[in-house]
Amino acid sequence: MNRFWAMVQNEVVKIVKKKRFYIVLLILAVLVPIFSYAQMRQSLERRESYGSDWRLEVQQAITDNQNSLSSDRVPQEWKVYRQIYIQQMQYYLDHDVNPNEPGGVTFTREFIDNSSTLFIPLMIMTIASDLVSSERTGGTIKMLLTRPVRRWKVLLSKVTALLMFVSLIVASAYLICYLISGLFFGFKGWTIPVFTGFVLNGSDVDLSFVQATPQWRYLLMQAGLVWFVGVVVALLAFMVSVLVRSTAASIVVMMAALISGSILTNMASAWTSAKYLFMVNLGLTEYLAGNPAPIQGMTLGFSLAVLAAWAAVSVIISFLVFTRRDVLT
Amino acid sequence: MNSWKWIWRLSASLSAAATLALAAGFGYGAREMMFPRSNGMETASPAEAPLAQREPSKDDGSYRIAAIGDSLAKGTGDVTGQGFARRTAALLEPQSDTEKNGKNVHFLNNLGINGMTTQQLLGELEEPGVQYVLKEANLILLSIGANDLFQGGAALQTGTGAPAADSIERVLPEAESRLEQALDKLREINPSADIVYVGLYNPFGDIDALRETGNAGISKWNAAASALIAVRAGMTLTPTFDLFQRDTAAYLSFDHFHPNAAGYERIADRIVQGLR
Repeated sequence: MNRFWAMVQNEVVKIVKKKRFYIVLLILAVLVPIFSYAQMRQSLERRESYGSDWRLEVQQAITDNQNSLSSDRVPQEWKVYRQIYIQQMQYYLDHDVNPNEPGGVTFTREFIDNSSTLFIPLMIMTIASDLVSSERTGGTIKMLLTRPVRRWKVLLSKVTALLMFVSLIVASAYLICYLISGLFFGFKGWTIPVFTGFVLNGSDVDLSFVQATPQWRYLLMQAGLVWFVGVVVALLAFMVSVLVRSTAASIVVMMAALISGSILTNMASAWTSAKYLFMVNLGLTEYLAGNPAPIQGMTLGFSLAVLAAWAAVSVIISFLVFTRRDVLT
Repeated sequence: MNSWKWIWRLSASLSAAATLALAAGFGYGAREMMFPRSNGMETASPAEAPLAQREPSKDDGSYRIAAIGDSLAKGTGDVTGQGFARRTAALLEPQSDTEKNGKNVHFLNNLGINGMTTQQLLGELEEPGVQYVLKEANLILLSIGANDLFQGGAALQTGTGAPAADSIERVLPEAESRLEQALDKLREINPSADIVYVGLYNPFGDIDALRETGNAGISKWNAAASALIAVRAGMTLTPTFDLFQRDTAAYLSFDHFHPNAAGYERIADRIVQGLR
């Protein structure tokens, strides 16, 4: 057992030495101020037209959406989306709760919501994609396999190190985002109520399960869901890294899958069997926010099951291939 | 070599802590989402909403304008999207230096919704958010009734011809009593605001087949509205019938039902004249 952790330690040191993790942190530290600044400009502009009264603003958003419902040019599924939005906003107004109370915590919540399907998986890929393939390109794989250790143990140590970094990336995304956006918007907002539990029936919203959750709990749930997505993406990228020889190719494969996912979620609502693809199921935080799923019939349970199945299959494939393949070069 | 050990210890302990917290969050979130608890609250009780119980805003010596009602209030047909509501606000704005001590103007909200009827207006007035806006305002511009009488200009678009005289006659009494309810409700929501009701015009004035029935129905409606408004304090009816009588086409937009920019400007002129 101690020997196994020594191997994990070896892998962790290798990842740190490659400096990929620092790059992830650096990207976050550069991007978050940019988005914070953009958000600040936006809210200043809004303040000009509505004063400081969020209630007037929310009511106007409701009215504008109601108006677009009567337009024939608006596609049906957008109407459903807007009907749901109207009902949720009305619920916020009914309870006199600001859905977008400005603050570092709210910004973090929204930033992670927007980055959970593409940005954070991308960060995870930068570490996961070359974990095995780089050993092959660098030729170090022979050193690795000539040691008196079973191959599956070698691979397991790599997966363990990878999962450790998934947690570190998700946690540091939250931390950096909160610290930087806090400088812009203040560090308050942990206890602001956020409504969760909007149950959607078509275009109707069942309000009987709605709970007022303090924002810190919301962030906790959100982080958990994002972490789950991260683990699944990491395992998939890891499999690709085992299968494909070149690191560049393995990054491209995963990027193509992720990007196709974000395109599909915008247009695949007519093709219902697309819901079994992993990439359209990455938006777990949408369920938490009460947004409608991209394809009918998708629920949180369904998405979790699909993602878990893809992850399990990719782990099995990784191990089978890695333990059986001849290493020639 | 020692520094690597430190890196390992640090990343191992940090990631262990992060993993525990994230896994706990995941379990918590998944449970909350998959087995939602009923909140045991009656869902529909907007009357008890905090927003509906607020006091109307205090007079701060400025115009605080809100518009509510149908597509005319919204400004449909105006290519600039301002409608009479925003145009009224612009006209009330102090124009020259001599007027600098005039009232400030805040345009709060335009709650106009295309196709709104008196029936829907009554429902809208129960919404806490709508009530909040109306309480904040001290000048409320109201346009309603055209969709009751004409079903949103459907008669023209479907080509079924004239809105039959008897159909206008039929809806008139009910629509009238709903207008009365709406006016009373507005007054109840905001006891002090000036309420300006924008009268109806006949969009079919230049179509011979439709002119007479339209004119008859609309004059009846305007007369009824005028009677309701005359007995209520702080309410005015701004007539628009004559504005669109002579050269109807010049002041209507392409849909031949809503005013165009020039038409809205004339309505706004009228409203401001009534306020000064």
